[in-house]
Formats: sequence, C-alpha cells, structure tokens
Amino acid sequence: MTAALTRRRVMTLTAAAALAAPALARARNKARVVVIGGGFGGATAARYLRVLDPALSVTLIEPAQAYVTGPLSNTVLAGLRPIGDLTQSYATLAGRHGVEVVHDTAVAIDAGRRTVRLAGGRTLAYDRLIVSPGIDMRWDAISGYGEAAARVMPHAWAGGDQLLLLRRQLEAMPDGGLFLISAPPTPYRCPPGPYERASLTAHYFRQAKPRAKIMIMDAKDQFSDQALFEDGWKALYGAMIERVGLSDDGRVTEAKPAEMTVVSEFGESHKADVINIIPPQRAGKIAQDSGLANGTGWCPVDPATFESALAKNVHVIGDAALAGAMPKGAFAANTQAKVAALAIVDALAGRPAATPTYLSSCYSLLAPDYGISVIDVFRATSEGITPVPGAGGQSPRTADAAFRSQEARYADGWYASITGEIWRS
Amino acid sequence: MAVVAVAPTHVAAQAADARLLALSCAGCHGPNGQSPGPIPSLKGQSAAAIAAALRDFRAGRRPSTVMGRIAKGYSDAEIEAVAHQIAAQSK
Repeated sequence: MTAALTRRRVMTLTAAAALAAPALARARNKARVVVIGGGFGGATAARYLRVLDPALSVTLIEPAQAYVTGPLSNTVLAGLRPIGDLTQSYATLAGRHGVEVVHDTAVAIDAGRRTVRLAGGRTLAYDRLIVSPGIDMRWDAISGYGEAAARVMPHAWAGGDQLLLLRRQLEAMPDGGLFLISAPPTPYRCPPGPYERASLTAHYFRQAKPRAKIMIMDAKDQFSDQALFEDGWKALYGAMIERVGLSDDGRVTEAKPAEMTVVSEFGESHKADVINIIPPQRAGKIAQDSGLANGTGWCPVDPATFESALAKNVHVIGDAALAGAMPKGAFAANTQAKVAALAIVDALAGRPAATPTYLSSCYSLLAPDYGISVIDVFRATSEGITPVPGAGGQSPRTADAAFRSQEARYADGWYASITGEIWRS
Repeated sequence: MAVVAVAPTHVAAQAADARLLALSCAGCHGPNGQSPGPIPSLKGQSAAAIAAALRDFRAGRRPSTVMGRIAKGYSDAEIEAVAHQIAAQSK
C-alpha cells in the first residue's frame, strides 16, 4: 500500500459526504436502492449506502415501528434488563441519514422489472435491491409445532412478544420445576444462543428458584463454544443444566402443547413445566417466495458482493444468506451489509468491486460477569467465504475470572457500539 | 510497495479495501472511532499509534481479550492502511 493510495482513499470517504453529493446528483439520475428488512443487516446497509453515496435514494422496508434485537434477548429472560434496552428506533436513519423508512411488508419481488410490491399496495422500483429478511421458522419440521403451539411453547427466537411470553412463563414456574430447551440443527440464527439462554436462565433460577432444573434437548452432537460453556456451567451452576445431544436421543420430533410434553426421535416423551422450542430455520419468507433461496432453504450469493446467485441486481445479506463459514448473527449481518453497500455504490458508479474483508465478534454471557467470545476473520476466496488461517478463535479455556469479567463488560460494550452505529449515529 | 509483509500467520493475496477494513472496526469501536460504551474509543489516536497497537496485539506483545485474535487476520500493509483510514476519519 503506497502512501498516495492511502491518502486518495481517505479523501474518497471523508470528502464524499461534504463535497461530492451535488456533483454526483447532477452527473447522473438519482439511483434508487431498496432495502428489505430493518434488522442488523438491512439497517446497516441503508445507513452506509447513504454515507458512502449521499446522492443515492434509499428506501428501507420494515414492518415493525421499533426493532427488538436478538442480541441481549437472553438478559431479558433472566430479568437482568428490561426489553426497552433492546428496542431500536428508525428515527436517526430517517432524520439524519435521509433514508425513506416505509413500515410495510414486502410481498413480491420482480427481478426482471426491478420492482418490489408491498402488502399495503405500493410498488417500488429499484436499480439495486438488498434483501435482509432474517429467518423464517420451519413450522413443518416438528410435528405439532406451529404458530399456535408457539403461544404455549414459545420459540422466543425473534420478536419481543415471544420473548416476553417466555419470561412470564419462567417467572411463573415453581421452584423445583423443569425448563426444557429444544435446540435446533445447524445452520440457525446465533449458534451459541441456546446455550447462553440456558446459562442466563440458570443464573436467574439460582437466585429465584434454586431447585429448578434446565434440560437442553439438542438436535446436534456438537455445539458452538462447547468446552467453554460446559466448563462454565460446571463452575457456576453445578448440575443445574443437563444437555442431551443428538446421538443420545436429543432431537425433538413432536410437540404436544396440551400435555406440555415433547417427543424425541426414538419415541420417548419428556414433560416439563416450561418448554422453549427453537425450531429449525430457513431464510425469511420473502426470500422463499421470490425464488432467492435454493434447496437448502438459504440464499446462495457471490462471496465478494453478496449479489444473489439466482437474481441479478439483488443482494441477499444477513442470516438468510449462504455465507460459507460465517456464523449467522448480528455482527456477520453488519459486516456483510457494509461489503454489499460498497459493492452497490461502486457498481452504480461504474467502478470495479473493492476487495472485501469480513469480521465477526460473537459474545455470549454465562453470567452477568462471565463472558466468552468467538472471533472470525474471513476473506472471499475461490472456495467461497473462508476463515483466515491462524486468526480468530474462541476465548482461551484457561482464562481467569478477570478475563471472563472483562469479556462480559465488552459484550455490553459491543452491543452499545453496534446498535449505536446502526440506529443512533 | 514500501512495506514488506512479515505477518507471522496468513497474508492475503490481495490487500482488503481500506474503507472496508475501517468499517470492520466500527462494529465494536463505534463509527469514526467513537465508542459509546466500555470498548475503548480510537478517536484522536494517530495512525502510528493505531498501527503499533495492532502489531503488538498480533505479536502477543500486548495482552488483550479479542484484539490478538483479530489482528492475526491482517497483513502489515492492511494494518498500515486501516490505521491511516481510522486516524483520518476520527480526527
């Protein structure tokens, strides 16, 4: 990297906002980008499209007036935070960044005509489209577990209502009761999430219902950060948390909400006082309905631009995308959104695509002062999106209490920073 | 090329875009290097200081929770580029 090139790049970014907007607007017709989904992926993309090219017209389509984040949601279950701490507003994206925020649901994409139709009846034209729809539950995967059953056995894996329902159930559970968590097969949103959920619920039980038990029925044998979680559970909660893996008949195949029972693969019934079923998942509904997903249920994309492999001028980011080794989570969606936004700005200006880089930091809390992390640095290669050898990895297994406590503080810091970046700055 | 890459681990065939490198930092350190929470801000630090810190994290000379694991993912050229980018953005 020469000094001249660095200076030129710095100029490009810092001067663009102040100087280039009128010139660009005059130089060409105002290009239109529509973004579907206002979570970590879509909201990041909308923000940076406007920052990188203020001449762009950017419309963000999101049904919710306020967004309740998945990250930190387990602290609400444990009574450590109110749900207001997880609720993000679109006021800054609209007011400061000039993003047109439309509270509606995208129901159809016509990639040939380059239009998006909304449930409210509006049709929007685009030059480029970003689809960041998150996940959809596979309601057909566990017999008896549909949206009605989820009102008795919540998934609490998306949205505030489900989260608060599970919190109320945990509060009402008697001491000595059993809380059962059914964890899904890979891939799914937030790989360490079910295990953080077990940890923070155990922390709550420790204070409020010390004779309670937690059982994780798992549809896989190995899970994210397994050794770190198992060490932590033993040290913090003794025998309160038990986990049954796939090979030991951990996969739940049927739910019976009327009996508060689940049935596992080999036919055994398990009754519990509170049951949280995190079902198998796929890309969000609009991705399925508009042909952006393949047979896996997820959306294949170009590893350097996140442009769909199945539709031109459409980029799919976040949990919905098949992004090689990248875990499905908020930071991954955020880093993908930045790459896709720059790829779109460059493509619309006729510039070649920049060389991408992807970073993901994923924190989990085992207790309020006990945090662990997984870091991944990725590149786009001929093999797809692959981790950089020798970089990244998990917190050391041998770390002391001060290290775990510092990582817990940084977990809070990460949340404050990334939500601040996207929704408040 | 003024900088010789001597990264102890992986050196990317092609250096990543400096803007995207800086945006990777923003997720934790905040946009323009200003962190609203307990993660240290980068605002006001010189390019030389940021580059030296990254090299020290990468080599394990400076203790860290996550920065050592992160810094190992980048070449010398990328560390220089991202340090200049962040210093210029967050003056």
